[in-house]
Order: sequence, then C-alpha cells, then structure tokens
Amino acid sequence: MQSLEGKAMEPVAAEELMRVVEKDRRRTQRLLGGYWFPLLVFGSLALASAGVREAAGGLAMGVFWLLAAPFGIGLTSLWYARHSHRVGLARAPWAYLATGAGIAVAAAALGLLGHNRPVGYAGPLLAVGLGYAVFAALERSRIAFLFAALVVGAAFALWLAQPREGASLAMAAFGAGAILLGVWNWMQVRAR
Amino acid sequence: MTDVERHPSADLDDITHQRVRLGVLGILNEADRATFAHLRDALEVTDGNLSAHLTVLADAGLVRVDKGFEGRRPRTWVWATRSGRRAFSEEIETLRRLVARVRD
Repeated sequence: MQSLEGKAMEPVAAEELMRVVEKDRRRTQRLLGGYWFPLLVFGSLALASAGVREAAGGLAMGVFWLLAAPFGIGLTSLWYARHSHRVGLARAPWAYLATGAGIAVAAAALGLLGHNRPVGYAGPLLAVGLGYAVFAALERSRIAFLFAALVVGAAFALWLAQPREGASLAMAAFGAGAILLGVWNWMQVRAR
Repeated sequence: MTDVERHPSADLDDITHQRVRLGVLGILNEADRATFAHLRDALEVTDGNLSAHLTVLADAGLVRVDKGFEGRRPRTWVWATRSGRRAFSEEIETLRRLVARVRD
C-alpha cells in the first residue's frame, strides 16, 4: 500500500490521517458558528408573542407572528450570510430556508384552522417541533434533536391537557427552551 | 484457487488518498462550500500547491470551483460535488477497515 508520501503505509498512518480529518471536521463545525443565533432570535420572539397574547389576545398574537416570522427568517439569513463571508465557509441555505418556511406555513395554517380549539396551539407547536427535528438533522446535532423531541412531546401534552392558557403556555415553554439551548450552544461554540 | 480476503488498501483511491485532497474533501463534507483562502489557511499549503490539488479534484469531478467577485474583491468558492462526498465517505470507510483489520 502506498502512503501519502509514496512509502508503504502503516495502519498507524491511516489512524493518524483519520485523526487529522476528524480535527478538521471539528474545526470546520466550530467555524460554521453553530445554531445558537436562530434559537435566540426565535426563542425571544416566542416569549414576546406569549406576552402579546396575554396583553392583547389571540388575534394580536397572530398578527405578531405574521410580522415576526419573516423578520426572524430574514435576520437569521442575514446573520449566516455575513458569518459565511467572514469565515469563508458556508452551508447551502436552501434546506434551512425551506424548513423555516415550512414551519411558518404549517404553524399558521394549524393556528387558523384550530382557532379556539386545542389544535390551534398544540398544532403550531407540533409543526415547530417537527421542523426543529429537520434542523437538528441538517446540523447533525443530537442535543438539538432531543430539544425537537421535547417540543413535539410538549405539543402532545398540551393537546391532551388542554390548559386554559394553552397558546401562551406553548409559546413561553418553547421560547424559554430555545433560549436555554441557544445559550448552551453559544457557550459550546466559544469553548471549542 | 484459494479464497483470499481482499485487502482494504486495494480500495484506496489514488485521487482522494492524499493529505491535502482528503483535507479539502473533509472540510467540504462538513460545510457545503469554502473559500480558496480558507482552504489554503486551514490546510497550511501555498496558493500554487492548493491550486494544483484543486485541479486534480475538479478534473475528477469531485469539486466545483466558482471564481467570482464579492464587491470589488475576487473570491473563489469551492464546492463538493455529490461524487466528491461519496468519494470522501468511501475513503474514510476504507481507512477505518484498514485500522480495524490490524486491531482485530
């Protein structure tokens, strides 16, 4: 067998090569910047929407998300574009944008169809959870997948329990969870 | 004729089995694209050296090189093709089998 330098390659050299490739993979992942930014943006928006609902009702929350969803997607896209330009690395944005748009459309449709019924607040949360599972797969992150599973579980729990302030509760729980995970991911990226 | 098990090294690819070229494919397997400057700095090679390796990879259809401008500054982005991702995975798998064969 020929080595990288043209000499006989020992298995130790193969192991060393794999170690270098793994180091490059981790470094690339670190430079890509993680997924903390969209979590903090959408977590904050979710918390704000819970406040809007408590203060002004369900219709106001619907209007809030009509403006907040494209704002959040735009802000996140801008952040990733600037970050990619700075570090010289990028992931193809189409899968992320399609997933974000899918979450927005599915959540809005379920929210409207289920108006004043449990599906009106559990449905959008389910859409968000399933969408985050797709994001987790794109990011190859187990912890993000676990978060997505928790969101899906919370959606079913809300649907079964049908609490009085289900919509506010759903948004507050998702917002708090997203911000916690975002802060954790940010700390991880900084520590690598 | 005896049934001799095929040695994993027989599956090593001459194009991908090279430190810089495997490094390029490894980075592009994690990110979808990288700038020429990033690859040069990350792999600690010269412009000429990286250019030569990218030509080999591009000729084999494993990467795509897009030269363009961002503002007034020239910027070259390198993308992994589907064949490039597959070639990287196969090379890593071959290396794993090679290491495992000795450990067993």
